[in-house]
Amino acid sequence: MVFQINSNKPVEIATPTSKFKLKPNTPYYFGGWGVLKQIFDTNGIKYSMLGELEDLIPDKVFTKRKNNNDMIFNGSKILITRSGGAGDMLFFSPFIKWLHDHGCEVRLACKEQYREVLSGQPFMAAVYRLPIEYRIIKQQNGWISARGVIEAFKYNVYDMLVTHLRIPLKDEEKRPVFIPLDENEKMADQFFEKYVEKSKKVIAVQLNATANTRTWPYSIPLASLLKSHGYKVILLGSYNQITTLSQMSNMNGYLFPQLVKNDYAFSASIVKRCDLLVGPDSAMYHFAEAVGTKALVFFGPFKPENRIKYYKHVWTLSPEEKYCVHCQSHEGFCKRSNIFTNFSPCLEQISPQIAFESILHILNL
Amino acid sequence: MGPGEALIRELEKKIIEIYTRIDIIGEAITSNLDEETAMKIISRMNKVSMEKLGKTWDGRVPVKTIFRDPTGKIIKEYPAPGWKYGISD
Repeated sequence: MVFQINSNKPVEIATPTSKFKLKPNTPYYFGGWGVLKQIFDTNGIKYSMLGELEDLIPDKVFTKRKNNNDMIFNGSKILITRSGGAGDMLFFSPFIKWLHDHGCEVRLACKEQYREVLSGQPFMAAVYRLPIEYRIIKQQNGWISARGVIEAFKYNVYDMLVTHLRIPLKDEEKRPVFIPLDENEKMADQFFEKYVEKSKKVIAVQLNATANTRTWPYSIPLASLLKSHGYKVILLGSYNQITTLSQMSNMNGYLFPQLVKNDYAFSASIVKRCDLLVGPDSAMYHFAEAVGTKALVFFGPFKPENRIKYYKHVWTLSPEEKYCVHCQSHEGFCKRSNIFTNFSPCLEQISPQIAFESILHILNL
Repeated sequence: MGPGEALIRELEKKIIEIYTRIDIIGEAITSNLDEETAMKIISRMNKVSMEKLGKTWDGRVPVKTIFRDPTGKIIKEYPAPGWKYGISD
């Protein structure tokens, strides 16, 4: 939705995940309009809705055209807007690279906290934050949105995007593209030199997914089990979560790279140096796939094939397709979860022992 | 029950406790409760949650867990747990 604030002064807005300032009487575009509208209404901020981009710039909507070849040329400016998570940015990465390789300048607008995911990538012309000024969108030759495409039922996300964008990726290209940045590589080297014994196998454990529905409950028990068997364990999680956990329980002997540098791109450089990544259906295994590190991922609400059909480094643990699995829920919490734990029952039953046994299988290959 | 399993069970209890606390503290603080009051509520909630967790799990149907390699080939099928691994002793 394109909107503008009816005010003479800038207005500061705080969503649950970010803060930003909106200039007065300046049209902006924001993908997650529902959240913003609620904030405006709650705080009595007056605004005008100018319309959906599809209606305002129909000739620039890349995905609605029967033939978009006239938008793919040297110097063509394409903007992708996506208000999803870090994984979503990586789903787009092979398509952005393809457009870049075909002469386009591709820009991305996403939530502030995910800008770092593709910033600095050689195929990326720029990464903006959402909300983005409407005038920037108007300056482009084409606009790509994939609302409702990534989470489509039954189908693999890359296959869906190939159909939606009409970009003919080969099967071997339907994987995330991410090149670790030099600065992060140096810092990750220093991190490993300082904290990790060379003789030990190193396993990164992602603590949780952004949504509890996809979070595996036993990441800490598994980390303890791995540690007790002589593995070096690196815990990956949000800065707040890690600091809270490290205060509330005995976390000695684990490594927390987020406390060094709180970002995805740095974590990707860390994962690149690990023997294995273990985690939920969330962002980090896409990075692991891109940098060539093996991963073990716990799938519950989503089918593994929807995500990793073309991946080469991802092993999966998922409940068989019977009762209450693969609901594709994007709710914060599973409706069937216990109100005190909030974990999805389908993921609760994958025990740390099963995970441990599977890890041994992968490491011994 | 071997010593390994006992350790796992203990850790599971611990982590569920931590997650529960984080959530409830968060809710309590956003509801303008002071931390001491929040902690009192949590200790009472923890007692209730132990009972509740066991009861809730009775109604669920556990299924096998499938371990697959990157080609999608099934490496192993783990039997349904019967909720053995929860904190419902």
